[in-house]
Amino acid sequence: MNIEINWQIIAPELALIAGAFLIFVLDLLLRKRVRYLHLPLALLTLAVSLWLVSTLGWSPQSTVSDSFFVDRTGIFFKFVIYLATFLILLLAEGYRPLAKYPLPELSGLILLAASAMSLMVSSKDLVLLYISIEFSSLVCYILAGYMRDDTYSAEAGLKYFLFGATASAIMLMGFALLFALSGGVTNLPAMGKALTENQVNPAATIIALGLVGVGLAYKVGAVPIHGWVPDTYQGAPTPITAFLSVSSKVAGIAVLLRIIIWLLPYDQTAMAPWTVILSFSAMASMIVGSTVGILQMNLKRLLAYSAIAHIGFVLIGIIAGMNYIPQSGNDFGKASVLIYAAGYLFMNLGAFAVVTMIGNATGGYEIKHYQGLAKRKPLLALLFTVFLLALAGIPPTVGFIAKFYVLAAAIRGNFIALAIVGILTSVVSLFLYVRVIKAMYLDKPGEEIAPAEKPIPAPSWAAVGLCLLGTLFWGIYPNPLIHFAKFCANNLNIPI
Amino acid sequence: MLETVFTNHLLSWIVFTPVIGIIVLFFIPKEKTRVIQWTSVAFTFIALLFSAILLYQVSPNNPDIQLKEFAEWVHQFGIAYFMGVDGISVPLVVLTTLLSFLAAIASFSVKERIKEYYILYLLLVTGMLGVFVSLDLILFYFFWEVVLVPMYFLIGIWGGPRREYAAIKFFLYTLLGSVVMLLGILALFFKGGADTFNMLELGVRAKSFSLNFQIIVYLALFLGFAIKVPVFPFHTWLPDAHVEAPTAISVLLAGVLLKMGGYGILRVSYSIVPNGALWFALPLAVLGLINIVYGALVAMAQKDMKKLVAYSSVSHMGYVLLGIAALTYMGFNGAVLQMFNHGIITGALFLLVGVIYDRAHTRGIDDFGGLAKRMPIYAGIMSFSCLASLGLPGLSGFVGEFFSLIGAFKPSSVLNMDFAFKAIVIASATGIVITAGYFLWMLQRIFMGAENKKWNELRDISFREIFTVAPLMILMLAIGIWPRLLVDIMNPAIVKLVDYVSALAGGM
Repeated sequence: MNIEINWQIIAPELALIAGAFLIFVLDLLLRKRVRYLHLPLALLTLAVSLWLVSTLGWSPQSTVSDSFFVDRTGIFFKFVIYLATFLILLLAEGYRPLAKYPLPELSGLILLAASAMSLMVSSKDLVLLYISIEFSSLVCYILAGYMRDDTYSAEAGLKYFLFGATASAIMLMGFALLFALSGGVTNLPAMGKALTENQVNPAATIIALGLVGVGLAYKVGAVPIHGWVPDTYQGAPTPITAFLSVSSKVAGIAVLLRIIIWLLPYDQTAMAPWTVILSFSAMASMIVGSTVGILQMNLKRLLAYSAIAHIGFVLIGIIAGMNYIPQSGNDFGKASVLIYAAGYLFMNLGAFAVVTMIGNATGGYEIKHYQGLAKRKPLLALLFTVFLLALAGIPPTVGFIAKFYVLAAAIRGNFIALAIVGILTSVVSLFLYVRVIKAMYLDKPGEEIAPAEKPIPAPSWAAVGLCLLGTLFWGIYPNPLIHFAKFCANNLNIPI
Repeated sequence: MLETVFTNHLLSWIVFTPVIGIIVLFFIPKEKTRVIQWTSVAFTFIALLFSAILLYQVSPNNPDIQLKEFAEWVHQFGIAYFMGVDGISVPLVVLTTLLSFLAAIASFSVKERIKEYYILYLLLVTGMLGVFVSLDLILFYFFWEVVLVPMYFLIGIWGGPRREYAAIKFFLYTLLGSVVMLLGILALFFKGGADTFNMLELGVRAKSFSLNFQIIVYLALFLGFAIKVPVFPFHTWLPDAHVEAPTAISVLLAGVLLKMGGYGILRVSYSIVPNGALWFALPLAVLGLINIVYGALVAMAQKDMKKLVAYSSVSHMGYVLLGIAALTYMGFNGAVLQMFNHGIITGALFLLVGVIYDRAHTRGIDDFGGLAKRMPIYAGIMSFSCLASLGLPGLSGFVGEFFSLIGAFKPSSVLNMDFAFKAIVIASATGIVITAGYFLWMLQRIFMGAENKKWNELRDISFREIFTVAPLMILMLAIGIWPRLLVDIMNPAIVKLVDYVSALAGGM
C-alpha cells in the first residue's frame, strides 16, 4: 500500500517527538551532564516547531489518508500550545520541589505532551483523534503525579488517571457508536455527512455524541466532569498545573470545535438540543467556578475553580459560534473562542507563574502566605494583581477583550441569558480574585512566612515578563490579535 | 506649530497629564516624600491649567461637541478613541481638575506609603477625566472601569477602621452596575444597526430604535448610572465608602464620582435612548424625590459628621434626578448646576470635616460643643459651607436646587404629567426644610452651646487648609450671585439636548 505523506505538515509534531526522544537518549548516555542541556534543547525544539508551523500555508491541507490535517484554526491553536509549553519549560527550571526528580525526563515528557496535544488539534480521523487524546492524557497523568514522594502529587496523578480513564472509556464507547451509525466511516467530516444522509435515528446520534461529550467535558474541565480539576491542580507540581490549565484545555477546546463543526448537523433546529446541553454546562461551570472558588484558601485550588469558570465562558463562545447563521454578518462566536484561548494563555500562565515563583521562594501556596506580599515582594505583588484583574475581566487587560468578545458574540446570537449569567458570575469571581489582592496589599504578613526566602531563578522572570507583555499589550491594542483570530476562525465555516 | 499640536489634542493632554505624572513618580525614590507630594500637586495643577485653557478654547453659544479628537482603536468593532466636550462636560472637567488639585494638597495628611498613594491617586484622576470627555461608548466604559481599581486600593489601604469592608463593597457594587451597563452598550452595538460605539452616531440613529429596545437598554444603562449617582435603593455603598475613605478621597468620591452617574444619564441615556428615558421620566422623578427626602431624614439621624455629609450627598443628588426628569431648559440647567455646585460644596465640607478629624480624631457630633470659641475661623468657614449646602440664597447651592425645582414644577409638555410633577416638587420642598434642619442642628451642636473642655488645645484652621477650601468658597459665592458664569457655558448644549429629546417624544 502506498501512502502519500506530506512531511511538511506533520513536521512540527515530528520535531517535538524527535526532540523529546533526543533528550531521553542524551539523559541515558550522559547522565549528570545533561542536567543543564535539557532546557536549551527543549526550548530549541519548540522554537523549531514554532518555525515549522509558521511555514505552513494558510489553506487547509491534509495527509496520511486524510487523517491528519492542518488549517488556519489548527495553526492558531498550535501557536498557543507551543507558546504555552515554551513558557512552562522556563517556569519549571529551578522549581525547587521538582529538584530531586529527574528533570530531563520532565522536559521530554512535556514536549511529548505538547506534540500529543498538537496532534489532537490536527486530527481529522476518529482513530487518530482517539489515539492523540489518549496519548496526551497518559503523558499528563505522569506529569501530574511526577513528584512521587509527595502525597498530594501522587493523589493528583491518580485522581486524574481514574477520572480520565473512565471518561476516555465512555468516549470510546461513543466513538464506537458513531462508527457503527455512520456505516463504518472513520473520517470525521465524512462521518458527519453520513450521519445526516443515512437517516440515522436521531436518538442514537444524541446518545453517541453525548458519550463523546462526556470525554470532552473531562478534557476541558467543564461541569459536570469537573471534579478532578481542583485536586489535580492543587496536587500537581505548579508548572505542570499551569501546563494542564492552558495547553490541555486549549487542545480540548479545539477538538470540541472540530467535533461540533464536523459531526453536528448544520442547521439550528437540529442543533437545538446541543445548544441547550452546552448552555447548561456553560452556566453551571461559570456558577460553580465562581461561587465555590470563593471558599478556597489554596491559591492553586482557587485558580482551578477560576479555570472552571473560564471554560464556562469559552463554552458561551462555542455556543454562539455553533449557531452562526452564514448570512447574518460578522461571525463573532468562533473568533471569540480563539481570542479567549490566546488571552487565557497569557493571563492564566501569568497567574500560575507568580504562584510558582512565590511557591519556589517561600514554599507556601495558601492565601495566608500571600498576606502582606506587597511589602515583601512589591513587583511580584503588582504582577499578580495585573493577572488577577485580567482574569476578572477588568480593562485594560486582555481578559477584558476576551470577555467582551464572547459577550458580544452571545448578544449577537441572542443568547441573552448566557450573557447575563456571564456578567453576573464575572462580578462574583471578582470577589474571588480580590481576596488575594486584598491579602497582598491590605493584610499584614502572618507568622508562617519563612524569614529566609530563597531566590527566584531568572527564567521564571522571563516567563512572567512575557505573560505580562501579552496581557497588557493585547489589552490596550487588541487589533492584531482580533484580526488574526478572525482570519483563522473564518476557516471553520468551510466544511471540508 | 507646537501650539496646534497642543490645542488640537487638548483633551488628550488633560486626560493623560496625570499619567505622565505617574511615570515621573515611578522614578522618584519613595523616601523623598516631599518631592512626591509636590510633584503630584504640580501635575494636578497642570491639568487644572489645561482645563482653564479649555474654558477659554470652548466657544460659547456653540451647542455642538467641540475639540474633537478621533483615532481608530479596534477596527473590527468600530471602537474609536473619540473625545470631545460641550457645554455639559466642560464644567464637570473643570470641577474634576479643581477638586483633584485641592485634594492632592489635602492629601498631605497621608503619612504612609505616600508614593503608592499618589500613583493610585493620579490614576484615579485620569479615569475620572476620561469619563467626562469620551464620546465612544467603549472608551467611556474603559475610563469608567479605570476608576474602580485605584478607588478600591485608596479606600482599602489608607481608609478608616472598616476600610476593607467599605472598599470591597464599593468595588463589587459598582462593578455590578458597570457590567450590566456593558450589556446595554453591547445591545446598542448589535441591535442598533449602526455597528459602531460612537455616541454621536448612535444619537443620530436614535429615532430608528424601537421603544421596547430603548427601554431595555435604558434600564441596563440606568443600573450602572444609578449605582454611581447614587439612586435609592442602590445607595448603600455610599455611606460606608465615604466614611471610611481618607479625607481627600472622600472629596473626590463625593465631588466627582457621583457626577459620573448624573453625566452618564445625560450624555448616554438621554442622547442615545431618549424614548426610553422619556418613558422612565416619572419613575426618575419619584426616585429623585425619595433621594431628597429619605437622604435628608437619614442625615438628620446621624451622629458622625462624615456620615451626615455623605447622606446629604444622597439628598442633593436627588435634585439632579428631578431636574433631569423634568426635561425643561431650567430643569436640565438646574441638574448640571446642582452637579457642579454639589461637587464644590460637598468637596469643601469633606475637607472641613477632615480638618477637625485630623485634630480631634473623632467625628462624633455630640463629642464637640462650643467649638466656635476655640476655632472661630474654622467655625465661620464651616458655617459658610453648610449654609451653601442647605441652599441659602446668595450661595451656589440655592441656584441648583431652585432651578431644578422650578424646572420640575412646570415640566416639559411632552411628558403630559404636570400634576404628578407638581406634587413631587411640593413634596421635595420638605427636603429643603429638613436639610436646613440637620445642618443647622449640626452647627449648633458642634460650635455653639456649652464648651467641651476636652478640646481646649485645638488649633484653629491652618493656612494650608484654608488654601484648599478658599477657591471653593469663592466659587460658592460667585456662582450664587452670578450663576451665569456657569449657565452661559452650559445653556446652548442643554437647549440642544432638550429640544432633541422633546422632538423625538412626538414620535412616541
